[in-house]
Amino acid sequence: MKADMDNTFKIIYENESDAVFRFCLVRVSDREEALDITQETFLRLWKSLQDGQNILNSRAFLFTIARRLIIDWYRKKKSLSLDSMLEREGGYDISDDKTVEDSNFSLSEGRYLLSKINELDLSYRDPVYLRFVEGLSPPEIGEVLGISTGATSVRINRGLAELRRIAGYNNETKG
Amino acid sequence: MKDQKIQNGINEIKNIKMTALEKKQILEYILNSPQKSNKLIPSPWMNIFTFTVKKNRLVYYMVIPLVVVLTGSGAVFASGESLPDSMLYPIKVNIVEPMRGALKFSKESKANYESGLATKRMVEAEKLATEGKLDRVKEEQINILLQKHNKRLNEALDKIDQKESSEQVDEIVTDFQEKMNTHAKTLDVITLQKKEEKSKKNREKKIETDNNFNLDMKNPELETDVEGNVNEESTEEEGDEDEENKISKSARDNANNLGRKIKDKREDESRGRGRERD
Repeated sequence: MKADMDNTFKIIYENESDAVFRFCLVRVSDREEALDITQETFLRLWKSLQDGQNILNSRAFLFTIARRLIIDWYRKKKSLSLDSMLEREGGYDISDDKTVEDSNFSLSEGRYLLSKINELDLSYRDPVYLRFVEGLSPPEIGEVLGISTGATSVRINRGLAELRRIAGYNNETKG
Repeated sequence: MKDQKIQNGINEIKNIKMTALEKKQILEYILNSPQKSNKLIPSPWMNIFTFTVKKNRLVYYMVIPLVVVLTGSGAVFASGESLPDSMLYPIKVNIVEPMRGALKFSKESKANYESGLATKRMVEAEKLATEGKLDRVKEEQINILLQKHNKRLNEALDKIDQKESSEQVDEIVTDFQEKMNTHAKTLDVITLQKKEEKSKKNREKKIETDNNFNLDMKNPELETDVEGNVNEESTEEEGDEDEENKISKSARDNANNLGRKIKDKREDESRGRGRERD
């Protein structure tokens, strides 16, 4: 029974840990903080499994927790220091040395796209990111954000149109 | 390609990953985390009773009906010997007795039961009369119940097959008549005794007051006044006496009616049989 649970958890961790970490890193722009939040997210999944909770969609579950932890993190940070946050907002660097070491990509395209995604309206940002980067289905995103599938689809489409506009991809394809 | 650049960007973003070491560290941390149970911390105020109840839900299903049965049966038991002046009397008459009656399945036992109840009412009336507590309200109450039992007895007897168990019917009817008549007589005797006691007392009182009046003020006009009052009282008493015979009267009537009814029925049947033969 416990071995089963361990295996289930390990499989989920293997498949989803990078996505969750990425999601956190993009939001908090701090590798250590992102690792902390990722760890806390999986710890909660682990405890839920131990309590015998039936988790139907582990992906949606993980992203829901991660998103809430990030919101909490921002609240705490705000109350701590407004100045340090203002300093941080200027330099937005998702990739530090470790990440670059791991990958063969320059990340220039990715960094540009991320910055544009982060420029999106708040209501479009998470749906667009989760849909196109992490490949979650609209129902899953709806579950994470606590909105209906229909509303999620609308936000994804409008968000994508907005992203194309601000990133200048629209003009290129037309021309 | 329209979305080529977006796709490239996405692919690049997807390469943001944890290092193998980070991944391993987190996994180990989680798997070795102390297993915290989400169980509630028991309150120090929790006593043994709540403990056992919480531990074992069965206790609910055992204890609650037990309490209900015990308190309920207590009231039922206590109501058994209650009289119409008691709080428990309505429980006895409206709940306990009809319930017991519902458990009598054969027509004979039902008839016997109702006859027994009618006797019980008579005994109650006698008890009250002996204690001098039988006023008009209680009398009326007992009378209504008596009529009810009589009605049910009649219904039960109607349903009994006269041909097959005529002996049994006879027995029930005779028994009922005997009991009703006896108790009616007893009740009459008791009420009469009470009346006599009362009137004796009144007479004594009257003599006393008369004497007092005669001694205190020798005024003939007042004397007649006092006598007039006394006379009025005695007529009231007579009225009372008539009404107090209500129970015994209805008991006798019921007994006679039942006997007559059964007789008529038998005659009808034998006539019907005669016609069939013709």
